[in-house]
Amino acid sequence: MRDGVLYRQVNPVFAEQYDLLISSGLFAALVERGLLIPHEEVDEEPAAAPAHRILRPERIEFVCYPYEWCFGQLKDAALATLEIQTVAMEHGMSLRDASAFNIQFRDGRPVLIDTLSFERLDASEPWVAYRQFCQHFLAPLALVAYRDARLQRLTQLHLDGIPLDLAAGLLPKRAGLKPSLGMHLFAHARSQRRHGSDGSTERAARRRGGFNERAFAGVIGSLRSAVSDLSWSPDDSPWAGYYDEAPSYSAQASEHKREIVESFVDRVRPGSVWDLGGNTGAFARIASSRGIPTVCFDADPGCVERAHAAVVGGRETNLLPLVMDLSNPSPGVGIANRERASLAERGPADMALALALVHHLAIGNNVPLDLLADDLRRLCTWLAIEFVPKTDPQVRSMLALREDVFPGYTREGFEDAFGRRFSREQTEEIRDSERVLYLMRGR
Amino acid sequence: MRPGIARSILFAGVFALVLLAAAPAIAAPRHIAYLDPGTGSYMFQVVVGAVLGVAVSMKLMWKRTLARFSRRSSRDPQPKDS
Repeated sequence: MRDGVLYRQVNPVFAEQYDLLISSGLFAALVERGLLIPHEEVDEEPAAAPAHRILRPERIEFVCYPYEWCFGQLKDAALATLEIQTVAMEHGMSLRDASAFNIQFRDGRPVLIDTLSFERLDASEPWVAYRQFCQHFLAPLALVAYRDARLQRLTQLHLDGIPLDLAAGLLPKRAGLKPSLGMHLFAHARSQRRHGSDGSTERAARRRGGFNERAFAGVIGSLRSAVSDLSWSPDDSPWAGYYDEAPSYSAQASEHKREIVESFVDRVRPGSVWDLGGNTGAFARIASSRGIPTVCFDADPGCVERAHAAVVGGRETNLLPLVMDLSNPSPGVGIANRERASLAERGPADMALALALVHHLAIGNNVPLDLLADDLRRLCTWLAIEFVPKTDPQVRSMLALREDVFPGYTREGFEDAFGRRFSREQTEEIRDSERVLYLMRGR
Repeated sequence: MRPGIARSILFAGVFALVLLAAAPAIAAPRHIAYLDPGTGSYMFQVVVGAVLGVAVSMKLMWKRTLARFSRRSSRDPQPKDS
């Protein structure tokens, strides 16, 4: 990073591969299909001389990670990786790695950001990235499809993909009956275990063996059909119907709430928006439809799945739905807890929407209002936040079976806690509702 | 026999073979890759690749055979399924 611009240096050791990427036409082919992030070659001082080239890639608005994706996003990323590999092979090149972290999302579509991930194709050797593909993509997809969507978060613990023996152990036996999964997950795991530490590398290194173009194509094709056949439906999500039923809002209240949020966004004109607890993106779209890069976070994978399907199906732009539990958001992980950034480190957003959220965190999760205000102050500069009082039917049902240990949870308490970190720019009571919307600005 | 069934039988038979085989008589990495392919994965893929490569060849042969037969049997141009 230099003066806020991102550069990438191509070192001499990689000159041949980079030049081939361009001269073979692969770079152009992938950029044209929207599969690879475009870049410009620029004249800049290298960070460490000598440099073969300095690249300035197009920036991704918000960097996200596979453990924050919904099933559909992971599947799209997997299929994109295989498509990139296929196109690469047509141009005499091959992917050196198949890490899910090399994929980012742009307007709902997956894109490879690791431009230097290509090498000259040598089809007499198997695909070096095969293991990584199976662990980063196939294993978690199968776990979600055959067991539970919540298992996708395992990719946060296993940054090099889910170990195949772990996946095989967690999957039901019927998953192994499917030939492609039986091969690439179960039998593959057994082979890994068998050759883990038996010195066979040394023995194998003394022989030569056969792989060829057809074998390569066969493996890629088999992985593609394995991924394509996996599916997951969000029908069981308890939250997806939230806005369809909307028992907390009359039609008049809904409409007024929407008008207020629109007026807030138009007043602030933010450069970026985070919708916290945004469900399927109903309000996030107020920002994205205005051309503002918007991220819509929700803890429920079902909601995010629906939001993603809508973005893809409607070819929507500027909207990125992600899975995020705001009471336990993505931490910094990897080496020194810095390899992959925490949520806060990827902010602050110009503006955050915290609509119909506070009561879930303050009452549902017992988060003190002070702490909540602190937390939100770190995440954004401007804040559109909805206060949901105890008299609201939703809060009443939350407290129905619990002791009310929230004496501070009142409108005054709320304004007080937030008033210390934010200045209140606007207050609007929602018509035909007891909820109140605030526009606040961080101090 | 329909291609789908032939393919399934091929897979079932060879799948059993793959489970039993894991013959170490396979390839050697000739260069040091920056990513560790994993010995078990490397060797496994060679076996699997051989099998799947055969399947790819068989599918191509089958398609060519079908195409040849439908060319022979039709005198007038007819709409064909792909």
